[in-house]
Amino acid sequence: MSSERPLDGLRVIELADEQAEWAGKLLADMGADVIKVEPPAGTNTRCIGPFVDDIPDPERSLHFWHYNTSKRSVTLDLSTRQGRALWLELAAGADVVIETAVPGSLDAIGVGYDALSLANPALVMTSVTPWGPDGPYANFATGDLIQMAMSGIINSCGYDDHDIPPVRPGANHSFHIASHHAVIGTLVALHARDSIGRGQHVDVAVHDCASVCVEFAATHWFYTQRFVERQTGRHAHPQFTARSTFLARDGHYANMSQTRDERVWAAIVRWAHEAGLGELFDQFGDATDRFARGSEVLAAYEALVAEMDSEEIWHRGQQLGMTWGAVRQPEDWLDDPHATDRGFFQVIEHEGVAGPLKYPGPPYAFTAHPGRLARAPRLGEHNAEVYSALGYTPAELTTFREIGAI
Amino acid sequence: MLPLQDVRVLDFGWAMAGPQCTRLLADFGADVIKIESAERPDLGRVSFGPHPFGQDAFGFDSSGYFNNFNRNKKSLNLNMQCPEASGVFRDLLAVSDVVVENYSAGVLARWGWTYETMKAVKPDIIYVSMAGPGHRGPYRDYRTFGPTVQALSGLTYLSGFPGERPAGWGFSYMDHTGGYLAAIAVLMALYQRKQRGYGEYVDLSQIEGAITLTGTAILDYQVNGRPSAPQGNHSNHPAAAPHGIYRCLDEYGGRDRWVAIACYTDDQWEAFVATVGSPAWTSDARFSSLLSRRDSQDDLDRLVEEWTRPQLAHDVMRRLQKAGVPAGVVQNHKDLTERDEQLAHRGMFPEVIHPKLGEFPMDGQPINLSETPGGIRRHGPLWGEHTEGILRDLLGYEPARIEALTAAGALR
Repeated sequence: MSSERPLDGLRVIELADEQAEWAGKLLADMGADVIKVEPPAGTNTRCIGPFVDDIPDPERSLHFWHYNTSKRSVTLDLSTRQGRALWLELAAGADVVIETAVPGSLDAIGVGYDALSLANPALVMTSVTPWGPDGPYANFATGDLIQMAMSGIINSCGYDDHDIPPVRPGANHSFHIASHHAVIGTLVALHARDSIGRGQHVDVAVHDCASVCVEFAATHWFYTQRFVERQTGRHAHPQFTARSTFLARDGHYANMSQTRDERVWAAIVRWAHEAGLGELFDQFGDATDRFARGSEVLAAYEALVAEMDSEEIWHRGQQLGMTWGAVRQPEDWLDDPHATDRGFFQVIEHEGVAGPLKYPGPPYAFTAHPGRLARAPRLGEHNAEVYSALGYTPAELTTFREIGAI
Repeated sequence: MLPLQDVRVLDFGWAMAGPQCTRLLADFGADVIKIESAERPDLGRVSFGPHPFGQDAFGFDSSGYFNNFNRNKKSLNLNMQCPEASGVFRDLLAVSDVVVENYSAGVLARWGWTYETMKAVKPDIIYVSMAGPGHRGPYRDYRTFGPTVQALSGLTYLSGFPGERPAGWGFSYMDHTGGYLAAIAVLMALYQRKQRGYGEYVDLSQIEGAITLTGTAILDYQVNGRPSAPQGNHSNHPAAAPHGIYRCLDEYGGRDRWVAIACYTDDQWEAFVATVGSPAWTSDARFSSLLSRRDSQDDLDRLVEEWTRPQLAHDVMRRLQKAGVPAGVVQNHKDLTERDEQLAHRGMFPEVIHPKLGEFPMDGQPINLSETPGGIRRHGPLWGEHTEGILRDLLGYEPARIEALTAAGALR
């Protein structure tokens, strides 16, 4: 393996909140030099918990740590003339700017795409906005819950009992979805830069991206004007389908499905005999009989799974070639032999704040030139090195600090 | 000009994760050649519907789902299990940049193709595999589909109300996201190849991809010893209250209707209070600060729902948004395609003609490039539509050679 990384040499300036910090992180972990531009008080995501020892502090946010690995941080106040000048200088020396400013707000102070591309025609600028730069909802207030609702995603998530509200899956997935599209748009524009000889503006709206991340709900409507119905722990579908998650002996859930494969069925019956539930399963005949008596089979599954551990269902099912799984918690992977064998987690030191911590590595294993994570930056940690590389002296930096520019 | 028009992709994608990856590449002009065989037809053609005119109305060209996820691509019939197919694949590799597949581990290898054998033909080839567990490690032979990946990674666990069964995701979110991540990997590897000249083998594991999305919970567990837990529709990070999904007046045919409301700041709460008409309960001490509201959320949720319940969801959204309160209808696809004024403004559901199915809307391409825009140029390919053209025009095969391949069963 080489110490070179895929995006070595790529310079990115990021002025982003939770909508696109994930995009900057994905680029930074793969070698891009991502300079995170923060207001002097810090990006607001430093205030999102959980915090180390539950002590709220901009340098203790685990949310910020996860979403900002491998970046450098500079501070800069865009409401000051000197701050705007520094922003323009940073963008002039960059390949990419990723930003989530309120639509029009950068242009209003003369530092939006028009100004930046004039100074640096090769610049790719990717703007991530909640709803798009203009249009009837452009000024709507946002948030992950609102985006997930408006996209149609939440309409598919929840329980068989429709008196229970539909559910927003945990974590800020609308921002993950938008960030993935922001990275793709950025890299496509960089690819095109070599052909057309200039950069361009990439417009990504969270609402657009999430609204085409709904799988079957879209095509059932497009082609047959049918709604999908949310169902507990499985796909939303125009009809109600058979339950596929069952509570196991260890208190966790496991996935298990009906099968027409007699070899698999025979194995399930063997497990049932081992668990003392043979009689319950011996009553069923061939696949035709089993599918005709679907609810009885599911009741039998329920009894069987209750006598087994969720991980056992998963591994034994897989040995039969079935796509069964266990409903794990994310932290279950920390000491998992598969993750360990693949070197998935990477350890990052947090001197003086926390012990060494395992972070999930990049979501794609480049086998010859893998990504490498580094600790998220402290606020303004790289002011001196970044601004002195622009040619400013320590005395000038002191002045910038005194006038509140950085 | 299309931004990826100089990139050719050999696409073994099937079902959804692979097709989602190459849909993104094809939308921006990559020449995506979908390699398909009747021995192993794409589930998207045969079992994933809807098939608006019946499952077999037009053979393998009956699925609207397939059309949606495979627009802009070409279809080449090549039976990789047939020995004669190997030479064709070798010739294709020699003129291609990228190979993408989302089979379980070992399928391509059984046909004789690994990164090493591909590299021997095309030294700078980029190969991205995207099996659930990846191609290395003790679980490498395990088979997954979206719900398995979501269950194993923890995404399913994190979706639901505390104390209830996991609600999980009502669709294969990780097929979408696996596709996004694979497209990112392809583009990063192309960037690397341009700068340094070498290719790459990317062993993408969809399970790992999903775990990365739960990183904050993994850190919280290590640092604070706090196990991950589903939050229902509440939000501790960032703290917000109310933060929930509330029942509204049922519409069309008694369907349940819901609106999402979130107040992250005191300003938003005050705007909410003013919009609901400042009833007495809003000045209750339990609701005086963000943290006290958060700690009394179940009570607050009931009171908020008393206000939403007799109203139409769209009216609640408009009233609250007008006051600056984050609110949004839990939209279904009728809402998305017929009532969402912003998506209409953005042109997110273009209508595309398919020669057999007819004209239907599709998912638009949400990434807007100012100079070299992508988009939908063409319907999903008909079964084997481009087989002869590719062999003849791209590979320069003579008719006799194509006939021999056909006779050997390599082109079906």
